[in-house]
Amino acid sequence: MKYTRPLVLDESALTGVEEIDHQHQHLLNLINHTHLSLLKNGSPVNTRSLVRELLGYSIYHFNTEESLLKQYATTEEEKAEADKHISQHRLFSQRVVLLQEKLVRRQFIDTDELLSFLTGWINDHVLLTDKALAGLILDRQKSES
Amino acid sequence: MPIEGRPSPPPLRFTLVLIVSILIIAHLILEKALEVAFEQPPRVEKHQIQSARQLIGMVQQALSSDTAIAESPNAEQIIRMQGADSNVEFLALLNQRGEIVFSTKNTDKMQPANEVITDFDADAYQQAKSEQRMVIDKSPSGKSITLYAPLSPSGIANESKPGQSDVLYLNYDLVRAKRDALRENLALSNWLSQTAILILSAVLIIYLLNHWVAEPLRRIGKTVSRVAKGDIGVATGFQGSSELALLGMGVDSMSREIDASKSALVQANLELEKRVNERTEHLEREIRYRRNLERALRIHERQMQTVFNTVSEGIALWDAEGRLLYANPGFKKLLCMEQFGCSVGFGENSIKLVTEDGDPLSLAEFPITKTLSDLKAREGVIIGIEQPDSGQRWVTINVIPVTEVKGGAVTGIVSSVSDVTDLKYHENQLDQMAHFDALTGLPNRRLLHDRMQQLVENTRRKGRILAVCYLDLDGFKHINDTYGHKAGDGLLVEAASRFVNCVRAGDTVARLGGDEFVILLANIEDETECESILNRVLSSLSNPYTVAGNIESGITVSAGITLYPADNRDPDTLLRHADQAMYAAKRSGKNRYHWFDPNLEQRLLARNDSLNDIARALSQREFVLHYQPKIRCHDGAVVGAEALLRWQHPVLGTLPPAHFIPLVEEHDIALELGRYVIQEALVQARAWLQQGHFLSVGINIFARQLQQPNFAEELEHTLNQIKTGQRFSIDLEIVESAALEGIRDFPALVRRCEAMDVTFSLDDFGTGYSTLDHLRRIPAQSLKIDRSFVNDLLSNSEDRILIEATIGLGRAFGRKVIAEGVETEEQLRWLRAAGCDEMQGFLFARPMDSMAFLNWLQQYRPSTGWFDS
Repeated sequence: MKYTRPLVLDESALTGVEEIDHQHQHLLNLINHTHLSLLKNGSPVNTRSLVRELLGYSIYHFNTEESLLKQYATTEEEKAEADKHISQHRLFSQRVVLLQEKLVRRQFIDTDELLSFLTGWINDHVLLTDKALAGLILDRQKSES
Repeated sequence: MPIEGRPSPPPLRFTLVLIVSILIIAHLILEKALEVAFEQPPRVEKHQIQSARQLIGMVQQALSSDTAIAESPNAEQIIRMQGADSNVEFLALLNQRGEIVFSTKNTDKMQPANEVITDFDADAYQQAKSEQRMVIDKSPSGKSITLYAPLSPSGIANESKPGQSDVLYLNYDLVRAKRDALRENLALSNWLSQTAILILSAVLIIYLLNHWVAEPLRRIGKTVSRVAKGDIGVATGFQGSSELALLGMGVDSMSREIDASKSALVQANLELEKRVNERTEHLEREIRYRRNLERALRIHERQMQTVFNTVSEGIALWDAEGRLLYANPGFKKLLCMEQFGCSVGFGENSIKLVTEDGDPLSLAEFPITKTLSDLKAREGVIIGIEQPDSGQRWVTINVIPVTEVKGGAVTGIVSSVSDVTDLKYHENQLDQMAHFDALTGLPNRRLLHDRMQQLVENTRRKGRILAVCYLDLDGFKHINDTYGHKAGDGLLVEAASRFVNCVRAGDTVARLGGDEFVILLANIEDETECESILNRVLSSLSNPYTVAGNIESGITVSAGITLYPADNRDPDTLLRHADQAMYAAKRSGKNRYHWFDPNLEQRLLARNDSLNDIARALSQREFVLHYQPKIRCHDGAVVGAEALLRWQHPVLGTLPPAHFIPLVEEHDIALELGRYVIQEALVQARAWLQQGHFLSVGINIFARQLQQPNFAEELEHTLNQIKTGQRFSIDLEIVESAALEGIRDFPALVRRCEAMDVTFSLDDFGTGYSTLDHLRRIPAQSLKIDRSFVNDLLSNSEDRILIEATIGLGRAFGRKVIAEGVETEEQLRWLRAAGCDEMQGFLFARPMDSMAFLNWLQQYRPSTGWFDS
C-alpha cells in the first residue's frame, strides 16, 4: 500500500463559483481522510463514519450542482453535457455506497484501486466537468445581470 | 412709637408776647394805681394846695423882711431856690407893672408876665395886688394850680399901699405834687402792691417759663438723655408747630430714627452675630480639623519615622549640593555606612560594586553619585554590593531629584535602596516556574505558546508541516478518585516521561494542566510520519502503570491532531482545533487519535442541510416503498415481500437506501422515517389482503427504533389502526444486530411482538457484526443469508460451507433461513438442496413499486423446472 500525498485544491482547481469551490474543498478533505483512514487500517467505525460522511456530503454537493445544472442547462447540447455530468455523480455515489456496504460486511476493500478511483474521479470531475458547469453558470449569471 | 397725649408747649413767641403783655399789664395796673392815687382823694389835692400856700407864704415872709425887694439880691436867690422844688413849675416875682422881676427862669427878666406866662391870669393878679390877698387859680385840667400872692415890704399887708405891692406868681404842678404826695402818703401800700404785682408777675412769668419752656426743655433733655442712655421707645410726645414741639418732635423723630436704626442695628447685630457664630463654628471646625490634621500629621510623621526606621529599604535625602540630610537605618546598613564611617559608605577602597551583569562599577558610575552630579532621575538600577559581613547583596536603586514645583529647580534628591538579593535569587526559579510545569518539568502553556509561535513562523518560512497534537489521558479521573491526587500526580509524571520518550529529539511535549498534554511535531514530511509517532505514543501510553503499588492497565490516551499550514490559523486556534479533534477521538471510543477537519463548519452545514432535505422529503412524501417478493423454496409460492425504501429525489432521481440511510442512522429523524416505513408497509399489506393475497411483509427497521422504550406500544397502536380483522404477519428485519445489545430486555420485546404476529429476522447474517453469539442471544425467528455469500456460492467453497452451516444453525435453533440475492437457477437449486427455507432475488423479481408488484404477483407462476422435485 503506497502512500500518496493528500489532494490539494490549488488555484487551477477553483471554478470561480464560491459555493462549489467551498464544497469541493470539503469533499477533498473527506476523501483525504477516508484515504488516510483506509491506508492506516484505522478503526472500522472511524472509517465507516468517514465514508458515511463522504456519502452524505456527496449527496449534498451533487444536489447543489445538479440543481444548478437543471437551472442553467437549457440547450440540447448543454442538457446532454448535464446528463454526462450527472452520470459521473452517480458513478461516484455507487462506488461510495459499495465501499460502505463492504465496510458493513467487512469485506475486502482494494484500497489502492478505490483511492485511485476517488482521486482520479475528483480530479477529472472538478477540473473538467465542474469547470465547464461553472463556466456555464458564470456566463448565464453575467448575461442575467 | 405711640406718642403720649401731652400738652404741647405754646410757641415761644406766644410765651414772649404773653410775658411782655403781662409786664405791660402790670405796668398799666401800677400806672393806673398811681393815677388813682394822685387824683383821689381830694384831701391829697388840698394838701397839695396847702403845700403851695406854705411855699408861697415862706417866700412872702423871706422877701417881706427886705426893704427893697426889687433891689435885694437875696430875693432872687430865694426865688431861685424855691424853683428847685420839683413841684414848682414856675415861680416869679412880678412888680407892680406886671413885669417879671425875678423868676425861676433867668431869661424872662423884665418881660411882661402876660407875654411870658401862658396861663397868666391878669384878673387874679389885679385882685391879689389890689386886695392884698392871695388868689388861687386852678387850671381847668386840674393838673396845676396858679397862686398869686401880694408881697409888701413890711410884710404887713395893710401897711402898704393898696395896689402898690409886688406879686408873687407860682405855678405849682399838681400831678407831680400829687405823685410826690402819693409817694409820700401811700409810700408803704404803694410799695406793697407794687411788690405784690411784681411778685405775681414774676411768679406767673416763672410759671409760664417753667411750664411752657423749661418743662418741655427738661422733658426734651430727659428724653434726649434717655435716648442717649439707650432707652428704646422714649418720646416727648409733643405735637404741633411750636419751636419746642418741633424740637420735641425732632427729638422723637430722632429717637424713632435711633430706635429704628437701633432695631436695624440689632437686626444687623443678630445677623452679624449669627454669621459670627457660623463663622466661629466654622472656624472651630476648621481648628478641630486642623488640630486633627496636625495630630494625624504628627502621628503620620511618627509613623513615617517608625516606618523609615523599621523598613529594610534604605531611604536617604540629599540637598541639591549633594549633602546628606537624612538616611534611615536601612540605608546606612545597605550601603555599609557604619562600617566605613563615611557619608555614602563607599569611599575609595571600601566596598566593591558590580553592575547587574557582574561587571565592576566605579564610584563615579554609582547611580546616586551620578544623580547628585547631573540631577537626573534613575529608577530600578540594580547594583551588586560586596558587603563585608553578609557578602554579595543585590540592591535596586531609585534616585529621584525633588523639585518644589513641577519643572522647577532641584531642591533635593531622594534615594531609595532595596535589597533584592532574594528576588534575584528567585528570579531564575520564577523563570523556571513561569515556563515549566512544576510537576512534570515539561514546558507549560506559556512556553508552549511561545514555542508554537516560533514553530509556526519557521514552518511557514520553510514550507514544512507542523503537527499540533492535543492529548488527554483516558481514565485518569478514575485514578485520582481511587488513589488520590498524589498517586494521580505520580501517574502524570510517568505519562510525561513516556510522551517524551516517544517523540523525536527537538519535538516539544508540554503539559497544559490536569491530564492534558500537547505535542508539537515540527518539520514532518507528511501525515504518515505524524501518525507513526502518534501510534508510538498511543501504544506506549496504554501500557500498564504502577499506581500506589497497583497495576493499572486502563489508562490510555486520546489525541486530536491538526496540521499547519493546512489549518492555517494562529497558535491558539490551532490548539483549539486539536482539542476539538481530541474530543472527537474521545467520543468515538478513546485510545485513538482524530484529525481535525478544517472544514468542520462546512461539514456541519452539509449535514444539517441533508437532514433538512430528508425532513422535507418526508413531508413531501418523496419516500416510497418498493417490494421484492419472497419465494418459498419448497414450492415456489410467494409467501411475503420485503419492503425497500426509495427516495425519489427531485434532483438526484431515485436513491436507494444505502445512499441516504447512513445520513440519518444517528439522528432522530431515523425514527420518523422508520415510523413512516412501518405505516406505509402495513397499509400495503392490508391492501394485498383485501385483494386476496396473504403476504408477510418484511420491514427494515433501524436499531434506533427498537431502542425506543415504547416501540412495542407504538407498533401495536399502528397495527390496531390498520388491521381489518384478518390476520397478517409482519417480519421486522434487523440489520445492525450489534445495536440490539443496548436494549434491556429484547427477548421480552420479541415475545410481546409474537403475540401481535410480528416476527424478527437477522438481516445480512454472517457478515459484519451478525455473529453466532447474536444468534444465541437474540430470539429472532429468521436468519437472512447475506447476498455476498449467495453471489459467490458456486465459485467459493468457503461461502458454500458458511451457508450450509447457517442453514444447519437455523435448523438447530429452530429458525427459518432465507437467502438473499438469488440471481441464477443454479443458486436456487443449490439452496433448495441445502435446505434453505425461502429466497429472494433478481431471479424472481427486482424490487418494484406497489403497482408493479401487484401486476407481477398476478402473473407469477412458479417455473416448473425450478420447483419440480
